[in-house]
Amino acid sequence: MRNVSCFFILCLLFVALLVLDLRFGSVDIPFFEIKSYFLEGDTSKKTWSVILGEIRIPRILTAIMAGAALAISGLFMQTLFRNPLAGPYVLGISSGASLGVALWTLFGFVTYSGGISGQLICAAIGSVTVFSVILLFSRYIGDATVLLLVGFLLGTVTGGIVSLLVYFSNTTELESFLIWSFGSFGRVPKEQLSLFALGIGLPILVSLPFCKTMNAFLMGPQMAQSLGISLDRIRMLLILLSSSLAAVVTVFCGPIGFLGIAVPHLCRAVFRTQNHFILIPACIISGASFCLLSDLIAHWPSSQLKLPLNAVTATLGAPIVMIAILQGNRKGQR
Amino acid sequence: MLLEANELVVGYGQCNLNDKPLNYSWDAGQLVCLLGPNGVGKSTLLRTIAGFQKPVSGNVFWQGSDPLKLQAHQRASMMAFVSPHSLSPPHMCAYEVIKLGRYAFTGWLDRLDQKDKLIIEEAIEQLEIRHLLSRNLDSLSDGERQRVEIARSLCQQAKILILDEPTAFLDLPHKVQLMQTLQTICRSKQICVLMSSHDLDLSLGWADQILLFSQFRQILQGIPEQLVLSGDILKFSHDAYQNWDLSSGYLKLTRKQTRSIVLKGQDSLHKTWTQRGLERIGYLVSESEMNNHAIVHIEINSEQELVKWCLSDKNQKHEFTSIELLLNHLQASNN
Repeated sequence: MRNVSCFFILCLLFVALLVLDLRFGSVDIPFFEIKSYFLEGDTSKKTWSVILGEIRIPRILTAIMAGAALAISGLFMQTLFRNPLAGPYVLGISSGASLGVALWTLFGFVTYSGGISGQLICAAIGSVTVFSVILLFSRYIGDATVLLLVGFLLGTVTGGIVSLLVYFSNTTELESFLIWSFGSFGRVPKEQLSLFALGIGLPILVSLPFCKTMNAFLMGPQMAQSLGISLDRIRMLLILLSSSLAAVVTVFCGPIGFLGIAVPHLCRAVFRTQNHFILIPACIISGASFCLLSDLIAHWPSSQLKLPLNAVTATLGAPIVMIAILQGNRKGQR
Repeated sequence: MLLEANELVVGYGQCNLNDKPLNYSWDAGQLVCLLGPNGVGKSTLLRTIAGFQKPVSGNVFWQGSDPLKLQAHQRASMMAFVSPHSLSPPHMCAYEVIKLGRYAFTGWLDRLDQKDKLIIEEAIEQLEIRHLLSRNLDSLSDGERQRVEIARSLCQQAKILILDEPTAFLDLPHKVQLMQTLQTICRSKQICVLMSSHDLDLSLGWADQILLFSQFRQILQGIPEQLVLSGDILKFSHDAYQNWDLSSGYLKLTRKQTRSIVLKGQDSLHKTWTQRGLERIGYLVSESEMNNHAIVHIEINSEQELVKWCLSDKNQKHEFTSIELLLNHLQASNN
């Protein structure tokens, strides 16, 4: 019963945020105009239709999908490592993407051949490279903590190279790279939305038959083995799914911090469960809502102000993790 | 045979834990205890037999098949393992853990059918943990948790049950209860139970076979009584068992006894426990009267259910109405 009411409230919140995010932005569009856009396909002003169709709806769809993907990715990493501080980027996926993009922009390709898609390809190459290295390592490293450490070190190395590149670059290149690293939901062109959706939908769908295995995996390797779980297989699967989700989001939106760590904690605290059958849908809705809220704040209503997305997610996310951790501790003492 | 070890050598890499290869075969309905000090490889042998670890050489067979060649889910229906190292994630209740025992038998939606539910109910009854079901795992004591996990392992309904130190965190009544439960299940379900333990008394009392590990990388197998009668249990085992009393089957309490006292009275529970009390505070207790020794006489008036302890010492006489007063007096006069 508790679960049902929690889901109901979450869905209400999601819909409310969705409508608000459609309504507000640098240009306010009245509710009934939004309604008529969806029902009749047009609004009374041409610009409003263009803003909704070309900018806001793709951006909101991106935000919803990115939020769901990062929350799920974080959940899987936390399950895999049984570590509350694990998140989508602990294995160095975002650092790999940054290195790719840094190499691209800081070598002066900013003005060269349509910037964005070049960035996209470089980010993809960067994250897939790190991803493959991690997968390779995971075959030989049985201990999850060692893998976590390898991911961290890999991230540090790529981060170091990025710093070097930044140090030797000029102002325009630097600005372009910085803007990428702030993250944004507005970069996915309308035509590529379906590709983005596929990249996120597929791993989530593949993960569904393994909810049961993930629940059992939480009890530790020895119990999991006794229950008939192939440890290597589930480890590999979690790394594969989680990293591909993180990589797809990073490639299309840039590194979006903190959400992936914060949302699974929030869901566990609200639903008071470790059951992945509940946590996965909960993470999808809460992750999407979290991104809608961040997007709403980043495009401050009725003003031209645009805040860097990463700054918003971090300032929203950190207090949430803090509250979740404090709540958990208080319960432990009781 | 249900469980066989054939020329088995276990260990890690360069470090073998047994010098002579092991050859065992255990049948259904047998309870086997592994006894020995810490660090001799009881857990390693259990993990190897469970198929979690490759043997250095030799083979393990479960009903004739090699566990290493079985699929993970096939293994789960033949063998259940209880480890002392499982985790307690927050927000997970005891029932969810017990339910995991049916993992290999449910579909991907993890729905339990009528049969699964009956099996779970039976395990809950057997370990008497109904009151724990809705409790969160991290709020359980170590002993309660262990019983929850054993219930989980029973839900697997495997032919082979392997438990790594199942009695470690339990209190004495629960230890005895667990051994009893394991023996009952072992006999009634015709399964083979393999467990490691540090409790000599319990193992000798309940095991059908004992594997005795020495500190010198040797392992001896036998039925408990034979190991005692041949003296192997003392010869072979480590120092901790040297104080063990062969005649009673319990650990002998050795104390420094510096003073002597005479205890008289008719045999009763009161006399036995008075003797224990006197020994505890450092008296060597004898029955026959000797010179210069204080005498404690216990008088029991069964009609009024009154017990009196009379102490006569150097022409002084004292009477006590409780054993505590007697012991306090003796301790005070000695200081």
